[in-house]
Amino acid sequence: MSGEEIVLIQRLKQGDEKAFEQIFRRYQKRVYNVAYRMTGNRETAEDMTQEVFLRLFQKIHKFKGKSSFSTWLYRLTVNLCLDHLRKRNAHPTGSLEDIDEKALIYERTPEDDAILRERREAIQRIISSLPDKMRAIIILREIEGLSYKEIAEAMSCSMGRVKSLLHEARMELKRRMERNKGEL
Amino acid sequence: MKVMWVCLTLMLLITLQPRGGRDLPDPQDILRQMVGAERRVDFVGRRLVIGFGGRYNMVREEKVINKSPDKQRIEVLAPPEIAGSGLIRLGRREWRIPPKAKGKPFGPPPYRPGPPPPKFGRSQRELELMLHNYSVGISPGGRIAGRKTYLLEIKPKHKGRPSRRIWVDAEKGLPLRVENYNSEGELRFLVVYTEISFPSKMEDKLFVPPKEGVEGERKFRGPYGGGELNLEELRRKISFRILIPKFLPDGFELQSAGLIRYQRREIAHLRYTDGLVLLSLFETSGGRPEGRHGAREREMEKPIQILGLRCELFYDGQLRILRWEKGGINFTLIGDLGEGDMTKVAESLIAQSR
Amino acid sequence: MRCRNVRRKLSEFLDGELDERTREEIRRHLAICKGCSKEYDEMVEAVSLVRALPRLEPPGDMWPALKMKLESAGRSRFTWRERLKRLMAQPMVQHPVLAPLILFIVAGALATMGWWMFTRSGSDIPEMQLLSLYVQEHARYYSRQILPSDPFLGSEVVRELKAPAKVRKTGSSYELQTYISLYYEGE
Repeated sequence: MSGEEIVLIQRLKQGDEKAFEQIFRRYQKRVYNVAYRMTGNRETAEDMTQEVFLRLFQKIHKFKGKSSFSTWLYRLTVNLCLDHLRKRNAHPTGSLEDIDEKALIYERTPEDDAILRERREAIQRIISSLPDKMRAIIILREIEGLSYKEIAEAMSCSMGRVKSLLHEARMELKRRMERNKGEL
Repeated sequence: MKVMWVCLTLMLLITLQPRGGRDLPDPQDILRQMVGAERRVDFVGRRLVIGFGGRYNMVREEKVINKSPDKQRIEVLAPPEIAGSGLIRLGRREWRIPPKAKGKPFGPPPYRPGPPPPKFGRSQRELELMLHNYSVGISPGGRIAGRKTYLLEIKPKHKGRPSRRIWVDAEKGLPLRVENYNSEGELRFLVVYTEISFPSKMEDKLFVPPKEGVEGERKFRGPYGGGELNLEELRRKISFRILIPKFLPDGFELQSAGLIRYQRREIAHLRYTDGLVLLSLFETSGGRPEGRHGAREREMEKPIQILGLRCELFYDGQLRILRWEKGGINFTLIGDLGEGDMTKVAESLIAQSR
Repeated sequence: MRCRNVRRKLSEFLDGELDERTREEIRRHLAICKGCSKEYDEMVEAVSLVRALPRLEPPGDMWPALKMKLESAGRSRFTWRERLKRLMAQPMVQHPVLAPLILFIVAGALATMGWWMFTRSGSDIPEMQLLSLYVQEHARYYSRQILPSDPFLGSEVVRELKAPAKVRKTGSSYELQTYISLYYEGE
């Protein structure tokens, strides 16, 4: 955590709105991406993002600085998403989500290619069909690029668990892709 | 003095020993190992990359840093005009780094996507195809960059196809020297490692892509689409009726198809392969684009007649290009195949058009 | 090393999380075992597809809505100074109906302009440009073939197509020039 960030968090703890806005702008993309990939739905992801930051504001006094702030925020995000999925009674095999990709803005993708987009939708469907915890770990590792240690903190589990869950998740991902390979 | 000569002679005799009876591994195993090696081995190396062109030969020297399974960093060391330039690859994404030379800003795009990934499970299939259509021989390869190697020779079972010679690191499976021979049996490309090492730990920060806003950079405008479709999907998406060749050379099959949208044209891109060769068939409707035919183009292409239709054939030692127009569709075949095979494929298409 | 042990560790192997000796043992096993090597390659393939997904931009500006929610939740700990400032500066942009409408109009105008400029860019493609596109697409897909491929593929053709006959020089500086531009252009 940089010195600048420590100051921001201090100010945030004191209720400084400007600090909150800065933190929001700095981290909204990360939170949004995790939420989108977890739920497969743009609107839900938007709602979740707001919810995450509200929670952040309420719970910031609980942040002691033991882990890095971003990892702590990831944890908040993942927990909220998992709660949301649980409430929706997503069963272990998962249901295939409806994805509205029409209005997405791709970062640095110069192609305006409908076919590529369809393939990406197919991949997202498979991610959405994974059981909740496997989905989360795949998103944190492969999309957000977190290290094993960061994942352990974000998912509140041991390193050993991270390794085995990630392994299982990847195997399951592979199996499902094999089954749906026509779309990929 | 005499001792030295005796030693030298002995050394010579030892190296010239007939190699019969040495235990060599199965060439297919070595081939399989080589195909996946970069995904499994971390290494740092220096290599020479040489293209034998018709008019010019192109040479460059590069430093390569590879971190399994999908990170790579390439820096050009020579020639000086492009030294400092290179490539960072993270999975499917690539960033080009501009050269350090002053003068004209060659600013390459900072982000350039490579080809779309093949359909899931495709690479296994290609390997099978290749083993079916090419014979693989193995022999001791001597030392390359100080490493013991096996030499794999990949020769086509059918005439008019390219071949390869690949020196594979006996221990790590990496290709340390590769020679590409075209369908006429001429050497067209060579890459050889002059140094290689295997560090135990490789920092991720070596692969941080360059920031945007590099001076002289251009905005990236292409590529124009494509993707990986099967035939049905392509037929559904494209606005005109595409033709499929009724003849394919032995061992070829359809790999995938794509739809390219470029300005206002729709172009079908059908890709056929025998595991090694890629044969592309492009079809577009809308008549012949406005030609800028000068002496240049006429010089390059040789007209040939196929089923009474005038076609243009071009071969630069690497790619054969055969083009024609019929029934309002423009056809272009591209690949390193013998003229006979290309012509037969074209024939089977021409026969179908009105 | 036995297959069962190797397969359990494939995920860690992929991430470079194992010690040097185990890593080497697994690599050696993968070199000779078709089954495990297939598992590994498929895992890498699956992971690569996910890693290639784009990182999305969050939609619009979520900050105003978030701010409102914060206040309505009654948890706002903003100082009275902040509240006063906000009251004084109520820009039109915050208006819930006009803002999206304005955005829509602007976006529409930009899109129309973009489309207009796009369709104005020449009536058709010169034939040689189309051929050059074909060669580049072919080379692009050819680079995916399983054996190491030739990065110069097609460059001769493209160079020939781009060089008008009159301007052709035989000096080495020109050769390098085209070589360099080909190395980077590819469009």
